[in-house]
Amino acid sequence: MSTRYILQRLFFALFVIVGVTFVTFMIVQLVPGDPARVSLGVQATDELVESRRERLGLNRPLMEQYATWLYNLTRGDLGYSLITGQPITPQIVNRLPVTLQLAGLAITVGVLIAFPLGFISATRPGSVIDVIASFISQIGIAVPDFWMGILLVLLFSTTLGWLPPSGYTPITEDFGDWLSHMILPALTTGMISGAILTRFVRSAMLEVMGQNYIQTARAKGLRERTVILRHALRNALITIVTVVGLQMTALIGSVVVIEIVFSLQGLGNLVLDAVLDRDYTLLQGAVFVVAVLVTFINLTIDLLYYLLDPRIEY
Amino acid sequence: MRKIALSFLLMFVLSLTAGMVASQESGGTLRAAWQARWESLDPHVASSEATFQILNNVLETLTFFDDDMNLIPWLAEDWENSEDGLTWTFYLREGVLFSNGRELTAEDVKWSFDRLIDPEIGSGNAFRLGGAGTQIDVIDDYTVSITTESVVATLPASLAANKSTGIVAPESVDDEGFISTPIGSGPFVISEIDGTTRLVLSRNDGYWQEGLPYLDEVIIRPITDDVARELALQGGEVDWIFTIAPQNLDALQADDNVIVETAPRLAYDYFGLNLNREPFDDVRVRQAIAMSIDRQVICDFAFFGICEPVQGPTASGTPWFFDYAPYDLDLDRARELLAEAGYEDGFTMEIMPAVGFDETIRGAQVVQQQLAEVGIEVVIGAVEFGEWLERQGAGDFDAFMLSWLGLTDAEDYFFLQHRTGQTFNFTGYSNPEFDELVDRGREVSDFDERFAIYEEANRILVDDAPYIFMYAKSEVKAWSPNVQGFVVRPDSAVNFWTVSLDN
Amino acid sequence: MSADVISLDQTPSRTLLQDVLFRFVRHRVGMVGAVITSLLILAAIFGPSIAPHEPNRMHFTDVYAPPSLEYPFGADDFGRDIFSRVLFGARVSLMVGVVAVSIALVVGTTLGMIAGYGRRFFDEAIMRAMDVLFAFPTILLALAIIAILGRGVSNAMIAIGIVYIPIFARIARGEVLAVKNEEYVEAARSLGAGHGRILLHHVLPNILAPLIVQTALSLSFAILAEATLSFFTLGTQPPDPSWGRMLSEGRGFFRHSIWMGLFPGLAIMFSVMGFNFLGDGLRDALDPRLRNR
Repeated sequence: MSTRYILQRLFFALFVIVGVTFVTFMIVQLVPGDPARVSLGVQATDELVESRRERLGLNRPLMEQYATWLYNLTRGDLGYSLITGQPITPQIVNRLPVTLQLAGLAITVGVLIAFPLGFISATRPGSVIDVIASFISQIGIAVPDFWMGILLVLLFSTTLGWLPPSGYTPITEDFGDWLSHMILPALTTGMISGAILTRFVRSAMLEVMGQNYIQTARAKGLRERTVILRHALRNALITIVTVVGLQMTALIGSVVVIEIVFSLQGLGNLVLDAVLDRDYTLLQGAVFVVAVLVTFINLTIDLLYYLLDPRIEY
Repeated sequence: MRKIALSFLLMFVLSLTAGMVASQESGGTLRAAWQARWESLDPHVASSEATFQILNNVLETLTFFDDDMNLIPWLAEDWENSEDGLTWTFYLREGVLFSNGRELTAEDVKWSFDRLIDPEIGSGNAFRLGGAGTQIDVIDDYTVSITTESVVATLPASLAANKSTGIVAPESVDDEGFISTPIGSGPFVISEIDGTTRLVLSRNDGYWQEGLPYLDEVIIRPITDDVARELALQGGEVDWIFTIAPQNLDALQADDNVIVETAPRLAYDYFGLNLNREPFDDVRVRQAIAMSIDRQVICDFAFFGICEPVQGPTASGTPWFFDYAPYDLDLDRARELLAEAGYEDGFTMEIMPAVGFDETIRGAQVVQQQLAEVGIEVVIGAVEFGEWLERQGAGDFDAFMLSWLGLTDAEDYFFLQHRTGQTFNFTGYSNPEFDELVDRGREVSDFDERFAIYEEANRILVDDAPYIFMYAKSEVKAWSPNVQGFVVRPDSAVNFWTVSLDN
Repeated sequence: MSADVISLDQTPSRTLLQDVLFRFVRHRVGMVGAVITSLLILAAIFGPSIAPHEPNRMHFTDVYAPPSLEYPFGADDFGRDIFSRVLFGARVSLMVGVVAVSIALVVGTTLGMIAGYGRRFFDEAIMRAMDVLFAFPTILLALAIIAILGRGVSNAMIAIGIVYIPIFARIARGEVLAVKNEEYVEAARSLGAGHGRILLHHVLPNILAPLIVQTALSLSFAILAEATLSFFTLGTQPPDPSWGRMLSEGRGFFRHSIWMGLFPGLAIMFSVMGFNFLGDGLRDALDPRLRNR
């Protein structure tokens, strides 16, 4: 049973990735106009455009182009930028750590906010804390992430001068410097996903606490703290893991936006640059990698879910 | 023997100066923030400011403009013109090495120039050498001659205008005929390119100007957002920034951690009309537009007043300023002209500014409001610069708005954009009288004589109004106080080899 | 529960509607949402007539004017009235939201119903395609679509619409699966009704509730997405005000004129909140089963 479930999930992830390759491959194909001409600019002669088409393989049949793209992909080769002619893979590899670090920090911030707030709200529904928590959470859901980022920069960088407004230092170079650059973007993204998570944590806890075995545990005279920590928490965890997982896709989307606001050189900035420069091959590569990242995160969550609750069946 | 003694002496002197240089804070890494992303680094394909200012530190030209805009010898120690004026002969400096260690010779000059004017490459800068018909001959290793089809009296200056005429080593070209990392003889070498997000210039240890450059490295990254770029400088993230948002000039000047310097700039902002479309084919309509705009207001709101309103291409600080201003704001006369042309009820037109050039989008909005006064409804269609170039090239516009910059010679103001059939003549303007004048201007080298020619050309151009000239911006750059030796130049050139850092 | 559903077929739906209305009016959060969204809609419709200034009119002598009676939200760097611009921005936000969500609702629901009701092959094909789309974070997918279609408001609407198709497809399919074997559907089928008729007359009315709730929630996402795209200058053209664009263009001025950044942001926040609250209220009113989730 268990292997079957794992295999099923693996197969599903693989399927999604194949689908993703097709969708991202189509980006370059659907572009209006001639990508070769876009890459060469106005002054290019027809001969030059033709030779660039040749070089990019745009003359060949669609399926052949797709097959070549897939084949190169399996070797980790995402092709060349239309605008600069530089290989794409190293650019993405360079930027991936920034995006992953920001996503990791942000979800940590989010969980650190949502868990305590959600638990307390659920244990005392209707209390002042519950009302305040749900109010904050509603604001967090509604506030545009880029605006929040701008306001935080205005407060902490421009006015107070505590933190740098933009930029990045690799963690391997100087940890303190790295952290000071990551705090604001991580807070921005983290607070927003924390707001959303709080709601889910609260309702998951409420649901679990209403269940029979909790009532039983209470009836047995166990202390309320024990009931919550030993029984309710463990069971609520399963739901929460799922919710954190679901939230990760949205969080990666938010990270993309926040990177741009803070001039962090991650995948998000790469995507926007590619869109603005009409560098379709670069866009293709970056979008593909983000989608694969999301798929892997979802797979991990699925498997984690299984570990927490082996009774699950599909 | 004497030669050896001399070179010993020379070496002694050089090592002395080198020693002095070393004591003057050699080394270090300058972190520079560009305002835009670079594109292809191939000097014969490049067209953007962001790219040319990188190449400025990598490639070198035969001649050079010093910081006061005087033409001085550079890779060429001397040059002369033939009797008939068609052939220019350049005598190269000996012992100049490419960054790969090979000596730069006349063959490399010929190769670079041949590639620049090759119609297959299609460089927009081919005119700088007189176009595709120009013949380049190697006389000996250190002598090269350039023979143009018609007299180009300003050729030596033309070679110094930007780095499209830089000497690039043929080994830069890859198997498919492209240059992704140009190899030059300049003070810096492109040592790392990370897409369009990070580029590292490293010191060229074999650079022919002993002791230069002072810096070990320049790390360049684009920060396209003005606020982020300025905050990065104020917060010490970067040491030098390409440009500032003009509205923040006062705030930045008040900051002790920032040095801001300005210089008059050889540039102007304008919008060009499509003379192949109605109603812009009617000169009265163009003149009506020209006198419906209040240039001082546009300057104040598009560029926050760090500029000078102009009615022609040249501003008062430049050697080529002509005192001709027929278009002071006159709405009544403008309405009259429109009525004469049959547009008393006005019309709708689209102005195309470019995203990323904020002043053009701001300017377009002010122009929109001003032209509404005479019944011309302006729609603003801002597009990405790539698309902007494409549509400009295809003639797919009513009006395009941008700036010309890095202009040095009179020819850069008139010939390029307005001579019939020239690469940058996108308006479709064609006036034989004007063409004859700017052609003659190229053949004359006496300044006063040329001034008279271009004064006449300027009058015709301003009257015909294919371009609506708005204002001339000042050049503004900013850096942190530990950066020494950077000079803000009227031609906007970014030269890092005289820059040093102290702590 | 099924009693409710059956009653829909037999008696006029008035009683059910009254029931829902009664529950909704008592839902405090939902009512707040209804008020906010009504204000938004009023602003979008009557904005031009109540705005104190023309939104694009520059007042060169009132540049950076702080909030006052003349300029309730202050003036921007061109001396334009921010309050009037925010009012006009409501129009853009609402229009983009409504059109985008309509695209998603119609296409997504159709696909979802076909998947849930049709053969297994269609189900697999459609839902797996939706799974693939789900692998892209929404804003990233919207950016990629804009890259292909080009910038501009109409393309932004299409991009946002496409992005939210999978959500509606998933919900519609799930609901169809739940009702397709219900008695009244079986009954219609045995009476010889065609598939189209069954889907339209018997299935759709019974899966509407969650779709309505999702529509309200999606409107809030769509307004956020439009603001984000406009912030990246991929939406409206200057000088037409959109909230995201105002934030993007004003960014260089927030340091000395905070009102330029404050009010458009608050407008986005309240609109999003309004639709979220409305969605919550509708969910609780339409489907008491889902209460407390």
